[in-house]
Amino acid sequence: MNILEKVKVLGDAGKWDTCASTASNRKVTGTDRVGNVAAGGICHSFTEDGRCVSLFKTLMTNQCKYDCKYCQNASDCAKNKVMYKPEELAKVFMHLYTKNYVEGLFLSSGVCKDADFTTEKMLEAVSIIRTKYKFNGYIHFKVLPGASRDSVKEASKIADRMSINLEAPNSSRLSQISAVKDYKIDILRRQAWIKHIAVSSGQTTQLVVGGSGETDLEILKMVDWEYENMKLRRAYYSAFVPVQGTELEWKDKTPFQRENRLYGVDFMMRQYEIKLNEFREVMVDGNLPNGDPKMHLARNYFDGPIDLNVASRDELLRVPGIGPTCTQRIVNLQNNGKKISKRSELKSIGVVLKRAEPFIKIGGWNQKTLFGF
Amino acid sequence: MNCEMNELFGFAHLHKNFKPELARLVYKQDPDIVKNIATSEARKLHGMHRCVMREVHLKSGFIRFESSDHGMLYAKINLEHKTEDMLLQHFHNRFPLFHIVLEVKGVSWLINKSGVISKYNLSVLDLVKQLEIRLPKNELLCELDLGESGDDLWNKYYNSQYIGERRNLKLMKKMMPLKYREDGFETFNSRRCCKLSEFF
Ligand code: SF4
Repeated sequence: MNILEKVKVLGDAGKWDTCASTASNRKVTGTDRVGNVAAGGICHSFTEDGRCVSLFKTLMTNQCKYDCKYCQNASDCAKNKVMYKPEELAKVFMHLYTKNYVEGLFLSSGVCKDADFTTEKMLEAVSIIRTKYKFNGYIHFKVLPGASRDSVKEASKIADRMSINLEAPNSSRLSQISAVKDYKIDILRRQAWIKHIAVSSGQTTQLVVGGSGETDLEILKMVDWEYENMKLRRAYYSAFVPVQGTELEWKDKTPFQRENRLYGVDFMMRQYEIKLNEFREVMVDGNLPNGDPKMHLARNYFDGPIDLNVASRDELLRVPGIGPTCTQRIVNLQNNGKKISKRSELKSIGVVLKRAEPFIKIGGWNQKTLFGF
Repeated sequence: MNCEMNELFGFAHLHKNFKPELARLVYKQDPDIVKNIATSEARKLHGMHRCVMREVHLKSGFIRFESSDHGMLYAKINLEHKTEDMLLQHFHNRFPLFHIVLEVKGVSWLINKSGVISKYNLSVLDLVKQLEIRLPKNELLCELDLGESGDDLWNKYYNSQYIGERRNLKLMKKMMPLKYREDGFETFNSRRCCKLSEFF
């Protein structure tokens, strides 16, 4: 297979990983180098599905000895199996980087022969990129289930970020999609290693939403535990999409709204420090109701409209249409003894009035009823 | 305080519609209110600052370079605001081993390997041709030049990343406004675009 075909096949096989973050605070110095990192992620393109293309996201090989029922690379789905030569992969990536098509490399792989054999090939490619081509930009390195501690350590020396995917929220759910993978040993143990090794941009993980019949609560409980215990930087959620030729090709796809709701709650747990228990109160049979989780949370939390000039930070953060930046601005004004008395002031501050109005009082009175929204 | 003001308004002066009077007015207002953007003037000035930052941020990702074996990366681009310097600096920090040339409205801006910026009333192609005579070959760029298949590589990769079941042109359009895409940008040639009008 020629190089163009490999780029296509291995890019296609790697596209299901949704992590596209490229932000890094690593300090890059010296001038004898190619590449840099940016503190805020940079997107280089978007596909027609609205997802950002910022990394050269590819697999080293699409041959895999595992049996994940939703995955086109699983051992039973033998079709078009290929592997990059390390030098080939390094050159393709560097070509794309110097033309400014991509911000960095996201290297994952199926597990060919065994995890260490494949990881060795991945490490070889990344070493060429780092040493021969003097690349100092962003690299996300995927740890393969079953990879040895030594290979994880080696990878940590050249990667900005590392990750291993949970795929499911617990071992019993994982057993429904893979008979071979061991949740505790293959995944959680590797995550603990990454945590101890500590890479500059931390570790992330991904869960397939709706792949194993799990509830939102199961997913969020696990992610909450991971933020606490694995120093997880971010969790990614990927709504299950049936892929032709896989064991689960018959299964309905998961509505993307479910994925969005999980992202919304995840964001509020991380950024607003709202506890999972609060979301539990609005769940129905362990699942978030349709619609915006912040709106549900606000309806459950507030008895009536609040006065912005005296509201606490915690209250402000729970108002739909008011994010962390606006909250900080309102708190600053309160601390300086300045009163907000007009809608136009709120608009200037950045509050989305349409969403916030049912929950707030401006100048002593509120504009809409709480439940009329 | 100055630091905070800088963070909120620091690059507003590079906006195409910037007026010094607006900045003077904002800087005369109550700082406690202004730094929380609670006046319409502060919001306007902050909006300009954000517009400039947005252009730099998006262009940093959407500019596509051609490479010359003589150690140059170059592109012809469109800019709405006066952001050439910021972009040149960004790419210089990224590629300190190469010279960077950007052509904006018929004028070429060069940042050399030492970080010195100069301006030429030449098209980018003419400037690159002239510089190629004087500059030695660059081994790294020679090795990475994959010829015509180089452009195909990106198209193959870009097309491979699309998930049909997630098609969402509205989101794509929102994330990548037309005005920031350069001519020949990959999305203009997309084979999946049934109607060109869908992109506008
Ligand atoms: S481990 Fe599972 S999900 Fe990963 S490539 Fe192999 S079969 Fe696919």
